[in-house]
Amino acid sequence: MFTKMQAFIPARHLLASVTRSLHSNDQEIKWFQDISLIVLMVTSLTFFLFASPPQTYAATVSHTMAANISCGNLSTGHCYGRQDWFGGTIGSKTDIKVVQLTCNGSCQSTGFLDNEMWLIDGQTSSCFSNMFGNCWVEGGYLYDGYCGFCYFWADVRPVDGNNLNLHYLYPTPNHMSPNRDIGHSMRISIYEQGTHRFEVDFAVQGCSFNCSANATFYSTNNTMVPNDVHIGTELSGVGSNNSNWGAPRADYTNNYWKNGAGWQGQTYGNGPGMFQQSPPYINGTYGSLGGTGGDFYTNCC
Amino acid sequence: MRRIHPLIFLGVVITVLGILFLATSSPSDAQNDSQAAPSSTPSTVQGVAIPLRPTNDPALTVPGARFTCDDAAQWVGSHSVPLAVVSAKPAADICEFITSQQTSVRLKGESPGIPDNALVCYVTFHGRFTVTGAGGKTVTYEKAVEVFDAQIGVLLMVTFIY
Repeated sequence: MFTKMQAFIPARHLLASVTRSLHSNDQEIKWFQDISLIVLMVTSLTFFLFASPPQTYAATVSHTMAANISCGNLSTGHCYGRQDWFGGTIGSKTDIKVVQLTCNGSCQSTGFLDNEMWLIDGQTSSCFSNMFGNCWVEGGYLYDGYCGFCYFWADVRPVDGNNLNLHYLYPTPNHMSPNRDIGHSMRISIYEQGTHRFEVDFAVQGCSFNCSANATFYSTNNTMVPNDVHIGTELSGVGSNNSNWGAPRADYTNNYWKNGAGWQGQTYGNGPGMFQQSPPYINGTYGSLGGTGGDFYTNCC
Repeated sequence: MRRIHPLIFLGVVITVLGILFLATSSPSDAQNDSQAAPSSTPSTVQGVAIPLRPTNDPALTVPGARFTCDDAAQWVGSHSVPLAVVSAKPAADICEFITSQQTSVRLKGESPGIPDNALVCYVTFHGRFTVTGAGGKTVTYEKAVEVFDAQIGVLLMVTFIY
């Protein structure tokens, strides 16, 4: 009991104890041993207090953000965190920051996760009368149980009625992989170029070594007249998140729409603005007239 | 009985508490780190692909192809379909090795995205596949086409045909 009480005496009493040991020949512990112990204790305290607690805190934050995913399956009930701009246009583009998406376990078996841009026609009769209710061309990067972590693009054209075409892009043969581009932005441009032809451009920004090659694809025989642009994250699947789904913050910058006069920076425009199903999440700021289209960012889950 | 010096006792207590603290916190931290780590690594052949045959395999009767139509048909029948819920298992109907350009003609201009003269494996199959569109509506298909790179075996595109 006595020794336990000694263990909790104030520091000045400890110092007094050390001082006594310097003047007492019958003390069992020498003064230099005391000094060594003090150094050891200070070092240990410093390590335990300043090294370990932040790790615990980070883990706590991570678990707090985790959520159960309830976003249908591959065919229905998907969730979105996206920005929508309504209004006639002949094209759109955005720079999407490439971040490491995670899709494991129930994500791969029941869904996928992506960051992308859609150019949509929901107004012409041949489009709003199809079974989807619109035609579109989309492009971005995803993580699913099929391709893995890949770039992709897809389209539904009036010429096909209800047919849907999905294209996966690979290191071979396309020289494209988001793994190579993490930390850079991928500029995705989809715009009418030529008669009834939409060009789909992928161009990584600010990277001169070992990134994906720039690539162009074409959605041909496509008579759609776009009136809607979406950017953001699409999420599909059901299950406990538990790190099966993950998407760090991805910024969408240089957001432009195109008309006959060229590229125009997006503003708030004709609403409805940002839309999120929490997860995925979207936030950001709108651009001003004549600007570069604002800065939006998504994250999940 | 020898007295224990208070500083020795204090040092032992702090050390024991520290070891206990680390022992209880480290495993969960390590687990979280491993969960947060990227699960995908760069690779030359990415995604699921039809297994390739050795170039001298006598079963390879189409010049430039590294697998056969039997391989492709078996692969299609044993795998799901991208971005679709499959309620009737896919089964191959027709398999052909054609050029990328010929594929584009068959699909009303939709190109596999590789050079026109590149060889692809074009597989038409049936089943029941439901997908979601950009507006959230779903469509169920009973016919689709998968186009594979004939030399690498990766799935270049899938077209759901209504």
